[in-house]
Amino acid sequence: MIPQEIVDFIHSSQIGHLGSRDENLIPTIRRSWGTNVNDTKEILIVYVVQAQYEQMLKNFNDNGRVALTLGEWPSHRSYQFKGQFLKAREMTPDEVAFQQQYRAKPIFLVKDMGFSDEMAEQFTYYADFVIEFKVEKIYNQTPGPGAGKAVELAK
Amino acid sequence: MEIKLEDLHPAFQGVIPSEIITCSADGEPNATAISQVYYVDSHHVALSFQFFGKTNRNIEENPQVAVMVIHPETGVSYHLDLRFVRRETEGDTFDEMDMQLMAIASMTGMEGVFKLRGADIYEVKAITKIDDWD
Repeated sequence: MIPQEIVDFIHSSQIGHLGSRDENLIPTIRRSWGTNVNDTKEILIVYVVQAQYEQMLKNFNDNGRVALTLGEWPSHRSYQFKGQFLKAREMTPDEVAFQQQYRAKPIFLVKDMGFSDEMAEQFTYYADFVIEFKVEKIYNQTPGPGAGKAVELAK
Repeated sequence: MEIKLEDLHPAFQGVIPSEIITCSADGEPNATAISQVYYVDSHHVALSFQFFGKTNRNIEENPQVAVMVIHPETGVSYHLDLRFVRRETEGDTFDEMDMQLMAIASMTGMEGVFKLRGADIYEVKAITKIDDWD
């Protein structure tokens, strides 16, 4: 299970990137827009823009390996989650509502970096699609002495 | 329209952090933030090598990496397909990246944490525009 401290971090993070690779080990990266945790704290539910995920979905369906980084500004706190792709699906009405609330976080981040309200709106998306994967490993990626260390999963 | 590396110059100023995906020889992708993507010439960029971690090990096993950069004036993100060429630990590129990294560290409160160990030179194999709003 994902430790509760990390679950709390996931809900507060504003930045997300998903990674995959193809059959020739060529990696692909895309942004994600909000993440939730399932009830058993084993599965991450990641919100993305479907139109940008053609190659990612092909990779996930081919080999299933997923890497997700989530970051928090301005603390620089960051974790990487690795695991196995489970499924891709449309968003539920509750998740559409979640997107409306979540979007304030990346907008805050962009504005806090010194960009205008207009730019902040332009830099951020509404997700319209969902990627689910089972978390196998978590790594601390916050810059500093603890970077790269594995986080022990809860029993 | 073909995207040229020169068109992305503002994305290489370190205003918005970039993200890198590498992959181990056994097929495990690894994602992490990267402080610097530095323009070298029309076919090469340099990435800051700061930590002896998984990214570094993966590059030794598999030189193919993907980097996402964001143009700070338009908000458009670009996917760079790169191939590792060599690591430089001295010279003009290293020195300029070292100065830029110190400035980035100062702006982001990371003084004493960010340290440039090498300027990793990559050939740019492809540039793909991810967003379509401009």
